[in-house]
Amino acid sequence: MAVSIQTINLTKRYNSGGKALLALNNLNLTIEDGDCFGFIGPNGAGKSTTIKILATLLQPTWGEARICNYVVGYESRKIRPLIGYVPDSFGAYEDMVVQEYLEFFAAAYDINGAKRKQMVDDVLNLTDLAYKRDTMVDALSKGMQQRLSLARVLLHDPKVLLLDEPASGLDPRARIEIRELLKELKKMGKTILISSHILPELADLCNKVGIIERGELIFAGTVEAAVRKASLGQMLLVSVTERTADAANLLRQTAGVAGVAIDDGVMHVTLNADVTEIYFVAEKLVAAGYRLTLMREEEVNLETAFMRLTKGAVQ
Amino acid sequence: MASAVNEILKLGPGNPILLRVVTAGGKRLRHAFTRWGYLGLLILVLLVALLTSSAGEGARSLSDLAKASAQVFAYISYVQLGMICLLAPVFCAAAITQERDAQTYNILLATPLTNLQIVLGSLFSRLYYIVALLLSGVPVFAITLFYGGVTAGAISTSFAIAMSTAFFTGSLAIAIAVFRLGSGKTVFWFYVFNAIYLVGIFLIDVNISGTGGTGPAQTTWLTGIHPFLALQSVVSPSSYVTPDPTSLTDTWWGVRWYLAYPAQAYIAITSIASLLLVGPSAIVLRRIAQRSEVGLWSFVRNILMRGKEARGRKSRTVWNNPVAWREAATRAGFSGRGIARWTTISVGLSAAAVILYFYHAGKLDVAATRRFLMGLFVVEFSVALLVATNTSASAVTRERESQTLDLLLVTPITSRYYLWGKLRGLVSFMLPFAALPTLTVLVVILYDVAVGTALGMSKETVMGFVPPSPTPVQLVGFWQRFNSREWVVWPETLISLPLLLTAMMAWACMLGLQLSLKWSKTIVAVMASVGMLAGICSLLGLCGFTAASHVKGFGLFVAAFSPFTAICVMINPQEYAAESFGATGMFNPASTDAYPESIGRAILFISILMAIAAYCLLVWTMYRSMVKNFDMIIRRQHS
Repeated sequence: MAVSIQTINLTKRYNSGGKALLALNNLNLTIEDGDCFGFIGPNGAGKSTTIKILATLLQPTWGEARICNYVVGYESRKIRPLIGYVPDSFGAYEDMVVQEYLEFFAAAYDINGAKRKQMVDDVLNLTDLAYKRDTMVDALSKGMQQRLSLARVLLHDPKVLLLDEPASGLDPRARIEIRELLKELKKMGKTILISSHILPELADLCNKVGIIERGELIFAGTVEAAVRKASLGQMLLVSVTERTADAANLLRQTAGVAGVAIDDGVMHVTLNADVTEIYFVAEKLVAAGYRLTLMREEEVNLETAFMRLTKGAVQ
Repeated sequence: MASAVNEILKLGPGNPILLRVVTAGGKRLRHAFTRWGYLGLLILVLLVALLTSSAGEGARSLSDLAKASAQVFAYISYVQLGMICLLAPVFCAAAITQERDAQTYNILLATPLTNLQIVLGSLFSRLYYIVALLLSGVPVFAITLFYGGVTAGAISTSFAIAMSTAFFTGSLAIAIAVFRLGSGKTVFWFYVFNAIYLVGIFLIDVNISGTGGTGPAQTTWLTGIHPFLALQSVVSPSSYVTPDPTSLTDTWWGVRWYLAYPAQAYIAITSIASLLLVGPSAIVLRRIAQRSEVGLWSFVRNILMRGKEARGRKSRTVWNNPVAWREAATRAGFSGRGIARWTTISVGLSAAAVILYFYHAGKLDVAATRRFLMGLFVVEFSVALLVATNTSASAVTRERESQTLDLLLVTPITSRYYLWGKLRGLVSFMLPFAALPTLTVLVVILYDVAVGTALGMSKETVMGFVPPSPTPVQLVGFWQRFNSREWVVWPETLISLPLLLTAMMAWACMLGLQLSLKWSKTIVAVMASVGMLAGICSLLGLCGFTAASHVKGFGLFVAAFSPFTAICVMINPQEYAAESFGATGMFNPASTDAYPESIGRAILFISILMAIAAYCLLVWTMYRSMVKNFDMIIRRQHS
């Protein structure tokens, strides 16, 4: 499959008050055509910097970024018609209505005449904003502004969408609407790179994820692979009727158990990575006379995978 | 007891808002540089004035030194006051920014600080910067005191005028912020109002004070409400004479004091006005904040528009160059800026009509009409330059602040296209401003052509009071009359004025655009560009006015390159190019061994065309340089 986005040893260093700040450190990323790639990381991890470089807004200090095989910086003019960029904040022009806002950007993409009107109508319908065409842009709700942002980037029918936290600050209904819209775009075959902090939604939307921390990519692959990787060394939730602390001490001395933590009367038992069967935990406790009230495997999802794979470190 | 003292201290030196500004401002290198720059400017004025005075030619006597010192004192006092008038919008800007930054404002309102403590803290924190600036000039004033010719009383009055002006503008800014009357545009309107008020009152005063006649001019009832006139009565007491209080015995004591001591009256009026602004602000501060987050202007506009504007309207057609459309159409629309533009234009046209009416009615002679027209054009041109600079200086920064610049930069729009669009849009937006003086000149010239000596019509016929005479207009001898009559404004001005105004405005736009690109904040970009514009115009004006009034012939060429001098010389050459067109000028037909006036007019016309070409070249060079450096500057700012 053809590659839409590729970064090779991408490095970005900022100068902040005379101090160098390494925002990206040899980031290697490959996103294929039609992928919906979720970009996850703590605040300040380098997600927005990566997206800005790919959107041709920033020059890398070192390394290379490519969009559809065009190199950012050298072939930016060829890249711009191929991408649609939604920043983390909505850029609103004062004294413009929705229709003018879209026509303004359509003109910027050299779409003129009847074609411009047609394109604006199409994207307004797609984003369900047609009834708001004469509304002032700055009078729209945040959810509608985000939909308008998506409408804006669809005007020139780009191949690649770079979305920097499009669901940030939205209420649940607006988030769901945006997610459904992105699913539509995914179906249309767009390659989407989306950064977000709302991990369950990314898991629902994306077929691949990348986890970035301190400017370094620590995981890239399918959501299932991320969960699988995080599941190595699975965790059990166990509770007994009495003497929880003694039970925890017993388990700590048991082979195959990496560690036990007690939280609110429930033991969080971490097993060694090579352990495949979990029944021995129950056997050990029952044999020692404890009565079990709970024993289940902790559910591993993208959120837990993220928490396990990252250290919570930021720049 | 200690608590009461603490509360009182919080009104002044112990105010936490003031302390924060003083401690932070004192560490800022930029503030220190500004003070050094200001002191440097005063020292430069001092040195230039001393060197160019008679005392500089070899200090003949103590009397010469004293005269020179008095002259220097006058110069630096005007510079000081001018700086205050220029910096006044900074107060406003800071107040508006704080007002807009509602979170900080709300946090302040939630503290136990009283309304008065908050208002005075905000006011003093703004005044601190100006007071520090004024105090840095004290050594220069002390030098003039050392030379003699200046009294300590005159120096302290000069300082008091500057301080009271600063106090008044600061209080006004606070009131605007508290009553939520302002927005980011308020800074700009401060400048506009300042320009119109200062020039307008000055011109009226010139005409009623007897300046230009024989003997010294007298102070008028306007002196006490105009900072520069009040200062003039202090620094030039012999050429701008205050009336003797004993000659005003038949007037009420208040009026007598006001007329006899205009400088003191000015200080008192501005101080009382400041207190009147601070008092209500302190009373209603929290009440207004609790009532609404919406400004008064928005509230009124909403009522006028019945909320239609806020909800939406039919979309307009976007041009194929969206950047130009954005600058020209959306700024000129039915927004505050659009209303302001058309209000300014209407006021300008009305003022021109009033001047023409007085000229027609015989209440103004040709010289006075020229003087008023020139004043009107200077105000209109000042406003136009300020609008051009303000609009262009905010063109890129506003996009950056509203985070729309990134959206444009990821489109295929190139830097050349973007900047050309900005320039084109800005010039389109500004054209009505250039058209206003041109239209005024056209009306005056048409009136001149039609009235009396040119076409043989009477004033009444032209104004429609009396039907035209059935006798056909005598065209025989028309050209003789056309050439020999005394024009209010020369007809060729109709060509040179609009071209010059357009070129100057394009230059002001480029200057603003360049600084808008360089700075990331609108306020900083606007202040920097207005400061630069004022500096350049002052410097060129200094050379231009000196050359035009002292150098025969060639002075006209130099004058053409200074924007304000060129306008003054075009409209009122008899006064502003006295060596060329004055009573004894080399092109005045009344003067002995004079050259024909037409030669002088041709020199002036060609010089202005050359100046226009030079400014166009400058605009083009600036544009090319911006296109070349655009990507680099933007990327550097991102990094």
